Amino acid sequence: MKKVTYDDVAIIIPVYRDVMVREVVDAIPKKFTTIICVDDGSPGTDVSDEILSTRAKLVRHPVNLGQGAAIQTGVDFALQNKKINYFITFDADGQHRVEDVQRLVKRIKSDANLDIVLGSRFLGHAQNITWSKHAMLKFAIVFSNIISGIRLTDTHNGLRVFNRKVANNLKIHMPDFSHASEILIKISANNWKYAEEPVTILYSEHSRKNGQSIVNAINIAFDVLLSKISGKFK
Amino acid sequence: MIKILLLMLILVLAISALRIKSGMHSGALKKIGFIVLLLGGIVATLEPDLVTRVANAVGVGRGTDLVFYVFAVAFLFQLINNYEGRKRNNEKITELARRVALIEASERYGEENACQDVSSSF
Repeated sequence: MKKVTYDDVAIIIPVYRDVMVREVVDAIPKKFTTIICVDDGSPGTDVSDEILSTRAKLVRHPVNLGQGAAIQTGVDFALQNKKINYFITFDADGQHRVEDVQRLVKRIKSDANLDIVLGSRFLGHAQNITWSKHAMLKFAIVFSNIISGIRLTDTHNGLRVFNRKVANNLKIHMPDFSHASEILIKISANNWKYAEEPVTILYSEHSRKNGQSIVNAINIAFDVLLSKISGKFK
Repeated sequence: MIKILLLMLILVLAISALRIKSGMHSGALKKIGFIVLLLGGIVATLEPDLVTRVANAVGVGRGTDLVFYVFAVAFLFQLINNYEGRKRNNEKITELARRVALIEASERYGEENACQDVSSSF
């Protein structure tokens, strides 16, 4: 099998007040040449300074815009670099494993038909998941599958890799965490070829604290339903 | 006494509306709606019995109830209007902030990530 290279891959990490960003960036192997951290208007300069002290490139929102907007900005920045063919979204709280990133890249590079590969914790292993989070995620999956019309085993996973075609047409409008559902709806609307790959999510004390709450889930459901009704997605 | 108070209130409303008019980009339909509301207010103040008669004609018991219903609908309309306007503003802020972020990053990292046609990526 041909050796997979990673110098045409951009890892995009939205960061907001996350103190773990240095550990996350340092854990990424050197063969990933392009890492983009989008500081989503964290208060003060601590987060930006920390990113600047790593090998990641910093893009800084002057005000807080939400995770979806941060990902979109990272994608826009990566698109400016003509060498980049594949775009990875990666959470800043240390819940994703680098091994999984490499498997996702291998998968999308091995199949020229694929436009996007999504990580799924339910095909893989979710460690230390609480039952309430599990129940909420299962509900989110049913909800998203109905809304978007595509079938997935995990709809709110922050780990994905997609090609330039998807990156060019992504244009995330949803604030906060609703962008996960928005991406799925876009996959369906644009007929992008998608696949799921099992990934392991490491639920640490930190990511549990910073993860999505039930209140957040209601917000997401409301936003997504509203835009679906008003026909915003196209 | 109440009539004078109400008429003065409507007058103040009309004047303040005229003042902000130049900066507003609201549709003609909204302006007509506003004028109708003002005129309706003046008529209802001067001739309360007329409101009751109109209310009876459309199947509402009291004139007060009719005024309340119109008020409720106008309020909801304004709520939706506000929501839409705020969403549009947020989108503009997002676009602006993203542009600032990308320009700043391009300055920092120079040629390799030169800020080519950024507008195409929005």
